[in-house]
Amino acid sequence: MDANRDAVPQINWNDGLEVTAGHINMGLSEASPETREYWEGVAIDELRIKRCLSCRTFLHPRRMGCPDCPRGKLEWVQASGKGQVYSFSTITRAPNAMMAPSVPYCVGIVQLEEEVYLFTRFIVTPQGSEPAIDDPVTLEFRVLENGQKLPVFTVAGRPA
Amino acid sequence: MDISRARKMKGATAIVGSASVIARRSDPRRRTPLELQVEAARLAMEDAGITRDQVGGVLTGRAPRSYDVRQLNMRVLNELKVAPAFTTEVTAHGGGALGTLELASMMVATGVVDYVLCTCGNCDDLWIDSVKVNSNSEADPQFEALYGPSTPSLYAQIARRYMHETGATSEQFARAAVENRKWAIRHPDAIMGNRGEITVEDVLNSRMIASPLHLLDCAPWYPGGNITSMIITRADLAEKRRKDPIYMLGFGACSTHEWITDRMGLKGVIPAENGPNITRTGALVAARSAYAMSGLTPKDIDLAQTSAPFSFIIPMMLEEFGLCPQGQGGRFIEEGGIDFEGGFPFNTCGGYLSYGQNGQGLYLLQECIEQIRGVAKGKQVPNASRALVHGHGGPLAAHSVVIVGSSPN
Repeated sequence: MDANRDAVPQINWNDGLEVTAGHINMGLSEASPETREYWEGVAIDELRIKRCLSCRTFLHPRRMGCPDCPRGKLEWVQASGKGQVYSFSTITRAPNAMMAPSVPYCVGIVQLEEEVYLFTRFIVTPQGSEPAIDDPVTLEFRVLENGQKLPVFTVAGRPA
Repeated sequence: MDISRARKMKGATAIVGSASVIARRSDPRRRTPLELQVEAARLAMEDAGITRDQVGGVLTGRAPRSYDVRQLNMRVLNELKVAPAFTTEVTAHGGGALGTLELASMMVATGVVDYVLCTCGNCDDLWIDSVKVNSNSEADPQFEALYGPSTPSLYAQIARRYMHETGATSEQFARAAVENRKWAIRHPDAIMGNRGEITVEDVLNSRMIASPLHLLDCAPWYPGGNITSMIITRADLAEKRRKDPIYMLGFGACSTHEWITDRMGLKGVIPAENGPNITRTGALVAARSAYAMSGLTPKDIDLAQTSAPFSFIIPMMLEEFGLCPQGQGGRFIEEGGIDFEGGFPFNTCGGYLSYGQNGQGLYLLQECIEQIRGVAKGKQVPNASRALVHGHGGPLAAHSVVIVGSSPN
């Protein structure tokens, strides 16, 4: 049981998130119903991606259909959590006040062993050091700055 | 693409009128993007010598972030009191700006309409903090934004891969910023011109924003706005109206993704026919189409402008436009390929890095037009007759390339 879970706002992803301005409903925001199982997986520390039942290709959790199989149905599968650094950047100027206390932090693209690419946070040790492209990474789940639990990847930094 | 049909587009249409309106923070009253678009549109119609009843099409870019109305094109035509047959927003991010000209050319070439007004540009910086707002719209709200990326950090993913795959260096990127600045110093509208020249060391010693991008590797937002409007018509009509129309010689476009990580899910189509990547962009496809339509080669081009909000994009685009061999963009710059003195004239108004970045603009095309007519506001490129201009939007997601010239050939 994740000690942080109670602190995370419980959202019914099946209804999506409404965007409101004052009392006016501006429509549907993300996450939306087609990614509900992804966020339910994150809640129990599982990284879920999609897979085409027809050609067996693994796909990004966002996909709503297989690009190559017009009638292919998709299933949710648990990713192994193994992967490597595809690209990365250490942010030293935060985009907003919420992120400012966290600099320097590293965001990047992880290449899962299923050949699915996800944007992520690389938790680099020691903080402020940088990984290198192709370095192996380990899946973890952490509550990030916005209070939401997200899949992240830990990686050892290289000496500068 | 049916090349033999597409080749008939070469020189078939022309820009017969154009105008840019610039707003600055120091203006006595803050102006809205719609107000500026309408002013630029009226000036472009006047420049073309056409009246309201002749406007057969109105194409706009997407609504500016600071003026988020639905169907901006309807607001524009409503204000101008024109009644076009066809009208729409062209919303491929910044690629949509040049996209309006490309679609307008295809519209008028058929003869279904005679004149199309294209109007693009914003003045976001007068109304919002673009630095804070932009990363929210550049990132996937569900699978990227929650990790706290800044806009530079999204582009930095591409920079890092480009360095890894080609051996390009931060010094080479810095050199591109240094040469852009020299053009800006000569250009009255470039916002960094009065800061003077910079050196490679200045760029490398400026503070890191998102590795490997330093402050001086990043474009500043234009402190105001630059709104540009153009009128496109068939070449025969253009020649009746003025002696110096600017001919559309070739164009192309390619959009590959909405968010940077989703680009890695693209394969099996150009430019990802050899597998997922983020370093081979739609600009390559757009440039190839433009060259194929025009029958021209990179050697025929006298100057080029690229929409490069970060320095590393300059060597990438030099490769995509065929101005240097693939994988050699960094080395080409290092060897003086785009030097202000003696290099290929590239980003002659200072580029986004030193002119200032203004979303969705046609102002890089306006710079080409002025260079070709010999009335450049900044340093004039001698005997310029053909120019290539590139517009892009999203994290290198949507690209347009247009080749224009002083003659239809």
